[in-house]
Amino acid sequence: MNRSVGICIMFLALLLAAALPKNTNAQDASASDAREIKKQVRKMLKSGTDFFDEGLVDSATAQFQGVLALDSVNPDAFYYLARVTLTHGDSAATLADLKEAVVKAPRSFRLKRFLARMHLALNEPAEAQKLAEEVLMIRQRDGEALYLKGCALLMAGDSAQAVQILGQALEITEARGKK
Amino acid sequence: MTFWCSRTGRWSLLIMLALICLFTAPAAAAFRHLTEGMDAPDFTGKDITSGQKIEFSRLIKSNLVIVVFWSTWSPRSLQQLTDLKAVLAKYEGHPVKVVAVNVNAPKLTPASRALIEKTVVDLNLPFDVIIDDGLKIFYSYGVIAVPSTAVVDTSGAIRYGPSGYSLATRDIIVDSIEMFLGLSQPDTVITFFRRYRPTRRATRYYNMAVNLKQRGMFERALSSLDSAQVSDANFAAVHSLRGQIYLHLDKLPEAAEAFEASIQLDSASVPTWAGWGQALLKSGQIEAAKEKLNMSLSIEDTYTPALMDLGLCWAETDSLDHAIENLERAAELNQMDPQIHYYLGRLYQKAGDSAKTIQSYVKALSIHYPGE
Repeated sequence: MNRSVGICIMFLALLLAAALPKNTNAQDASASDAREIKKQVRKMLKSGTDFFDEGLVDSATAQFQGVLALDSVNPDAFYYLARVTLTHGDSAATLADLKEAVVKAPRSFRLKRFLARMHLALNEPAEAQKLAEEVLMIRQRDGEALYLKGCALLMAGDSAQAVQILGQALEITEARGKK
Repeated sequence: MTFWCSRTGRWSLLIMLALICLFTAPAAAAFRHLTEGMDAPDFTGKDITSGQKIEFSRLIKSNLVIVVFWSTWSPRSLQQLTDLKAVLAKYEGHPVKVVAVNVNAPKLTPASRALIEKTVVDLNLPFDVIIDDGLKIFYSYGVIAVPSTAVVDTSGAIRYGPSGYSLATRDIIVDSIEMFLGLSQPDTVITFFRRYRPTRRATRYYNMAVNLKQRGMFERALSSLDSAQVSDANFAAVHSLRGQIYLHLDKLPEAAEAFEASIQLDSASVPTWAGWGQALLKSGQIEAAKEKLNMSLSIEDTYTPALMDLGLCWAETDSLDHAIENLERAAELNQMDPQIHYYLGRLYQKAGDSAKTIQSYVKALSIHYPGE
């Protein structure tokens, strides 16, 4: 009985020893895959923005969609796809794209500011102000978010508060410019 | 300060102004960090009509290139473009090119792009017109008023760089073309060719310092300026840029000293007088600041940083109307400088005009954050 238990333990130990290095290899492989994906994403974003700057909108779209195939919540890809939509002059479609993107990437300040801007373009100050304030909850000295909030207040007819907020946005922005 | 306020001081000031105007009137300054004799920054763009790629570095290889920064919101720009069309027709077949760089806004709306295209068609411009997307070219040249011009020779050096547009500007552009084409003798034309040209080594160090300053690396920029000074002890712009850096670092006595050293080498430097004035304004010497700023404006009355600071001097002495007048003129000349709109907004607020305050604040912020 004791002998067979001993053999079993030895057998298990051998199995474990064989399995351990394999496990580390798997971790290495997965880390390497993640690095490779990140690298690929960076590369595609770079070529997408280059295409976009050159005015090659279709090629840019293909790159950004490629990014989302690798990283389905990539905020930069959402941002540029929305900009592509905007180049077609369709504010409502851009707004719809951005709303969907903000749900998928809720921590992106850039997407929220862009969405706030689109609400302003569509004369919807309340929504714009809400989004600007969401950004300001986390980043109190975000000059652009303050600017958008000021514009929203102005659009809503609150000139007194708008002056105050716009002045604050400028103080912050000018101070940053001096650094 | 008391010297300048005395009768002798006032006469000295008037004589200095007269001398500066007499000898250096054509040597104006359109750009913050570039002076005549320095290399013009390279740029590329697409011609608005043909879509053809324009490479400045290629053009200057065999042409005298006149770069004009213009906008549809500046009536003088349109006047200059119309005049340049006539000037160019006169020298047809000669190696003279004009590149009109549109600086309407950092980001163009479809409506403003359409307006630019319509203007180009209406004026029937026979030269390349490009749009400065993001105002990259505008900032690399450090344009301070619209229109501004850089006449660049085949070595890539700026030969003449005025801000604003007057009949004198037009004449000097014509003179520079005649001179370049060998149709006029140097002694029969205007004085701008007499401007000091620094050594290439000193220019390289200077350009390096400009880049380092723009990246916020002030100590390294100062060290690069030391090297520039060693390479060319008579290069006035080195002292002027050193003054700008000290200003930025709020080292006001050092700034004033550097500007003074620069003026001793080049008394016609518009940005240097303006920088000196700013250093004095910041240190609370308002009357002395006004004098230096007026010196700057007597050489170049469209130099917007001097106009702005002169306005701020007036604001310090509670002459709000004068202050607003100066800043409004600066804003009219350079709508793309957010700082002008910022201070103008503050003055309007002080004057209790909330509609204009909002307008100025929004304008300043829209330049900082042009959007997508």
